[in-house]
Amino acid sequence: MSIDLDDEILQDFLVEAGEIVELLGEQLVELEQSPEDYDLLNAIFRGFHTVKGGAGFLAIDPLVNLCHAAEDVFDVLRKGERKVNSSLMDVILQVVDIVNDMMALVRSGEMPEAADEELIRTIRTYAKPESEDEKEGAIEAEEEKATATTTTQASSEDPVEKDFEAMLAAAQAEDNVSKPVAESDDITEDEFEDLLDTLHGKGGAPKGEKKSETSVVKEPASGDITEDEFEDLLDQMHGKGKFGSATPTPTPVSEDESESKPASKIKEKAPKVEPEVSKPVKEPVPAVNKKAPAEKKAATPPPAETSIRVDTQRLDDIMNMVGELVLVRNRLERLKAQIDNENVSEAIANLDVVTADLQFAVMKTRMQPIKKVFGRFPRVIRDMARAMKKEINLELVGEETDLDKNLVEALADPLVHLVRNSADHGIEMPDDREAAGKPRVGRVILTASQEGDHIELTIEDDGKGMNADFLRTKVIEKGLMEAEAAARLSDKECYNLIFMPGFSTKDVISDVSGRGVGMDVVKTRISQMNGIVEVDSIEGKGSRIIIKVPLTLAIMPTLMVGMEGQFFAFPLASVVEILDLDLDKTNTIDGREVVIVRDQALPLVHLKRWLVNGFYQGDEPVKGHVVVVAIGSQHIGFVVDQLVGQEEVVIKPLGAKLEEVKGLAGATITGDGKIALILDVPGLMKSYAA
Amino acid sequence: MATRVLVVDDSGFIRRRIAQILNVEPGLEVIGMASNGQEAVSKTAKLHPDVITMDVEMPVMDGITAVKEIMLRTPCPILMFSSSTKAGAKSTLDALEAGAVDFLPKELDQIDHNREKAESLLRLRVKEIGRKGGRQRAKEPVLVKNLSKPETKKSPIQSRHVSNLHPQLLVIAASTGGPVAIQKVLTELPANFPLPVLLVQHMPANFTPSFAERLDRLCNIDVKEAEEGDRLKPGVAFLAPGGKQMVLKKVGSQVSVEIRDSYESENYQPCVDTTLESVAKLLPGKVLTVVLTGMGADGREGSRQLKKDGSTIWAQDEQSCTVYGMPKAVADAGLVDNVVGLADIGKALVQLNG
Repeated sequence: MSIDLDDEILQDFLVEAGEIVELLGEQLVELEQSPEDYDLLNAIFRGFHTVKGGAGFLAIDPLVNLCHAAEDVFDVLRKGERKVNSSLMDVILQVVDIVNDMMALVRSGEMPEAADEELIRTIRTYAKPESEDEKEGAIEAEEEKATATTTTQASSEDPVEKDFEAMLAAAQAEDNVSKPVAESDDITEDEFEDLLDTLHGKGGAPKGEKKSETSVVKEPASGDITEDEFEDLLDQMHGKGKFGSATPTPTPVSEDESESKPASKIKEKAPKVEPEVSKPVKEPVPAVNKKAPAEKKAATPPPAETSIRVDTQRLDDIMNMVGELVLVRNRLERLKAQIDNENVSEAIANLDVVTADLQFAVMKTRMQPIKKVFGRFPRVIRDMARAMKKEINLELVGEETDLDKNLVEALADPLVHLVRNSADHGIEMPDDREAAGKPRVGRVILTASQEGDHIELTIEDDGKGMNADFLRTKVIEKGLMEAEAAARLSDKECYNLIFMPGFSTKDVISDVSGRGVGMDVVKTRISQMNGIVEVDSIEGKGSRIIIKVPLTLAIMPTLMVGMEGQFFAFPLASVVEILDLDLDKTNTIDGREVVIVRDQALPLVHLKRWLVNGFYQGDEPVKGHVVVVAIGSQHIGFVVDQLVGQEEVVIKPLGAKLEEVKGLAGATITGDGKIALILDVPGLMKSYAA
Repeated sequence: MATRVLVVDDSGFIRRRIAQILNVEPGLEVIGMASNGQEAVSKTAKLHPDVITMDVEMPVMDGITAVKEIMLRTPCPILMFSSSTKAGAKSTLDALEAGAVDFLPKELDQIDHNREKAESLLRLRVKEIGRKGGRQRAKEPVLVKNLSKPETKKSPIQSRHVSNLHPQLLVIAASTGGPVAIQKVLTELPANFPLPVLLVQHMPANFTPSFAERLDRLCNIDVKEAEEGDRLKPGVAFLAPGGKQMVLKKVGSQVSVEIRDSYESENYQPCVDTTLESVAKLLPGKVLTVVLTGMGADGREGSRQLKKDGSTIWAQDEQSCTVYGMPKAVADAGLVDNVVGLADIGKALVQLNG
């Protein structure tokens, strides 16, 4: 049977199965915390069972077989004939990843290929009662012999590649750098070289499945390599690891059940960066606490038949129309003042209310709880913690917070990156934490809440925090800032340097194209949503990253200003305050004009000079309105002629011809029918600031 | 008037598919759906369907418990939709014991490789089970009823008649309702039952192993799924494997079991007639065949052959049958020596051979 995407039945299956599989991911992580929870085991069993059933109906055999194998494991588990352990969990989580891959293929109209025979066999061994384990010989060859020295080229048996693939798959296929299992954070030069050799197969990329970058890495300046550098290196090497679901190569897990080793199998097979030492491995146990009202652990009932599928394009169209309505309403509002007619005024007031309601309602149709994105994190953290031998507790707060579907999707990648960052760079190794008087288990708290017209997301950790001076030094080193300017940065401003382009990556020649990770990219993405992101930290105590994005991308409250008859709109969310200042009392610092306000230097920008034709060189105004805008933790004062007022506008794209113009987020029609340009402040600063 | 169906499955996708398939038939109407056992129970009480299709694995209340509850409160014929996994097979048998009338594999291509044929078989089965007759029979689960009544007085088997019989082989044939009936009969036989037994139950391939295991566990006699080369032994019952045919063959002076693939002409796998005809050839006049509950007429032609050489045929009585099809076929053809109520068969068998 082929995959016919137009087939309603197929779509029906994809929706239902998609939800089940998503839920399975979460349930499995939960299971690790409560391995004996009968209801949970049952729910997971039913999850695989149902997906299998649907896939069977559509004759998607590879998916059927895989789910069948997993189902059998859980049948044995729920009957108490076997207990959950980490190796079993690893295998099952792998299964979920492959199921996800298969479903992705189906969604794009392709029939997936069968899962690796070895994996199925491995799964089947877990599907037998524990008492029968001794009867099985070691199913898998002892591939743990894969050390840094042996490189297996161009064969799917390459355990090293598979490890990384498995890890990367675990860390979410989309983007994401994954770290291999590093025994410690610091690695000596030799080990580093070995690592390179191993991963590059001494010159050959395995099977061409992944395009590894032939990275040219600068010899580390010192003998030791810092975390960041190591990570960047791996970024490059893993390059576009898009783990094509076509041929999933699972990690064979050795069947040493009988020797009860809770050892992390993945760890053993990773390139041995240190000589092979059998360490008693303490398994980090990431716990997932959901503060948000916990849903019933048993599987939620399948989607009710009271919903219908609607193309998101249709919702976009409706949103557009509502936008137009808002603009017309704005016009009427302005006209209301001119028409002194009570009835008309009343009608317009009514219209105002109805329009606001409609706007909100349409917005809601496109809203989804952020749970959709949050749902992946337990798994991400769990895998990372295991790989890095850290103990991390992830707390999710405010999962039910709704936001626009576009936003949910756009935020997914940045959030994952930030969470990964906290786990990776923030949370220390358990021993270090203990030595510092902290609990061994690090906390990462992911919070979402709605604050009026925008959504606030925070990622907080109680890790080692950041050192302002270290960052200060780095930014000078990289030539991104002059020493003097850097010296004047406040601590908080130092922390926010991490978002500077060019700050985090080390590489000179090649770009990490296709991956697009890096804090600066996170920031760019968020700016594209008209949002802001900033970080604060206390060294030794932890860090916190705060993201604010508007509830909806289409309609935005703004502060309308005027200059020489032209109108511009500032996104109200970024406006901090409006000042009327004596502008003759300005100073110049570093070639920039500032004015002292409340003992703080506020950089000034004469907006007219940038944006209005013919006024590029202006006389200094004596007094002026200054709109103070926040970009991250920085404040900038924009001098404008006229303050028009607050207005909610509909963002209209500028259109292809004007796309090149920097500093503008779009345009809109003001209440009195004129065109106003909507400012993109970060973009402005980038383009116009010297 | 259309047969009214309640579809129960925790997967919305499957519910809609089953409903789609069933609604094609004008004689069938899906009047409701339930997504777990509890909903199934309450909707049955509310809507009074003619037949229920029931999934096994469901949250809140599973299918087997639902069957029990429904048969207790508002009995209704129930068709189990079972997964052909090992777990599924066991659950199915449990469900049948709990009072479900019949079962079909959930995987359509297990019903038939041809999708369209599988779908129409499904419709047919649902319709047959949902017929008025079926409902009445489902009123009381076979087991419960027969245990409570001491002696059914349909056609009591005269012990004198029985002790005159000296068959060398016992064959038991069944279809719909068979698993439960066979279990009832066999569990009454003692470990030293003097005859070898052949069991032919219409059942898919993935289910017969579990069925054999279960019977072996519950019965005093040994029960196993038949394998090529098995020799007939007293006190041992061989169950014909689903999907195949079980016949007898003679090698030298030894009579043993042969398992072969089906011919085009054989409507069932395993087919009762096939087994009986081979038995008739090798052991003429020496066989006692018991035809139990089941749809269709499989077993009639084989019985005809057996009768020619003087073998004996018993048929289960209408009252105790889940579906009075196969026994009726042999009875109507005048081939039956005795009609016996399910509760009496075991006892009668024990009295054989003096």
